[in-house]
Amino acid sequence: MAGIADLSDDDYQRAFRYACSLGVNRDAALDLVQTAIVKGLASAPLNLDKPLAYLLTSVRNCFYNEARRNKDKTHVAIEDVSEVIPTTLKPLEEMMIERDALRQIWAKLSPVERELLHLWAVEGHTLEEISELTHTPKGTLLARLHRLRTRLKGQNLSHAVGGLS
Amino acid sequence: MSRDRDNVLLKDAIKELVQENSLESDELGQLKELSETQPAIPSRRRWLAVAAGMGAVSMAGIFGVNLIGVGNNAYAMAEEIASNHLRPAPLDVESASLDELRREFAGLGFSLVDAAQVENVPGQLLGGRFCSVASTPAARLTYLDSAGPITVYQSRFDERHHQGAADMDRGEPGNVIYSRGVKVCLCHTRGVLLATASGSGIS
Repeated sequence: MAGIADLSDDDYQRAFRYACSLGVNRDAALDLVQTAIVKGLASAPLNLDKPLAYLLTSVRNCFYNEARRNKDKTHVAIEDVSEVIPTTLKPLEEMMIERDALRQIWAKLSPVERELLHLWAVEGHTLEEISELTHTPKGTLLARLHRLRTRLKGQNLSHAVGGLS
Repeated sequence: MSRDRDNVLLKDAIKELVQENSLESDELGQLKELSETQPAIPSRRRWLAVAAGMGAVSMAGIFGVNLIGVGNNAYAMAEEIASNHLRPAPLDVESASLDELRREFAGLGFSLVDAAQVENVPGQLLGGRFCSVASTPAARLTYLDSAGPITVYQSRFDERHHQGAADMDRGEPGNVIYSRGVKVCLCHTRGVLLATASGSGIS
């Protein structure tokens, strides 16, 4: 059994990067992790099976609570789930992109989109795990991924064309 | 052709991009120190127990439904204020005159309250800075006392955003919360929220 105090340096970096991916700037990301730790200390059992998972969840909750409090529609956008397109993660796994193209579109993505890509690419979670972690139906995630892939492909193409001109 | 023009797997490109964000060693130390602040646990738990008790009593209708959920906002506000208090920031207006600061901050839509008079805030007024408290525009006034800096945050009182601040006009004592080792007192009077942050350690 471990506790919040047993988190490693790498765990803190992962929590910080997750906070950054949720779309806040560097200072706010640090604040978010601090707040998550303070709240973790307040409510966590002294012994935790997975302190990192606990911290990441705490970071997520703090972020979305704040977004809800601010009623920030850009943070928690209502999504149209009527266009659920059956697919798998395979096309995404095989997708190629230019680094610059990704950099350009990354800032334009919504927090939920960045979070989805972060959990998949950086944390290595499966679709089922992401669905469980984010309390989002798998169908919604698949639709989101489909739209994301379309946007990423479009950005990559326009970036390549722009680069040639 | 630059390296950035190369096509790479999306997954690898995301990893690289995300890993550009890293905590500096002092920031890392700060987080570790915070995590190791074990004494925070019992006191916070006691507070939670008290809050839970108050919530239950409120549910019973003795104190009324208005008290339900008061604690959450107060804690979030205290945390935001403590975080700001600990972070040095330059003053937008340097002046020891409250009248002058009132004029400078009039654009916020309220008139600054004299914290020295209302809350006995000691020390010398140094000036103010524009900021926000719980998403409402605010002024952060800095006082310097022999014990260190005191920051007073003032904002137009918003019942929805500032739940948990004591109503001084009804004789309630300030709601004092310790957050990040900073003493934060939350109250409102004459339609203005006052949040006073002082100290860098719980005494």
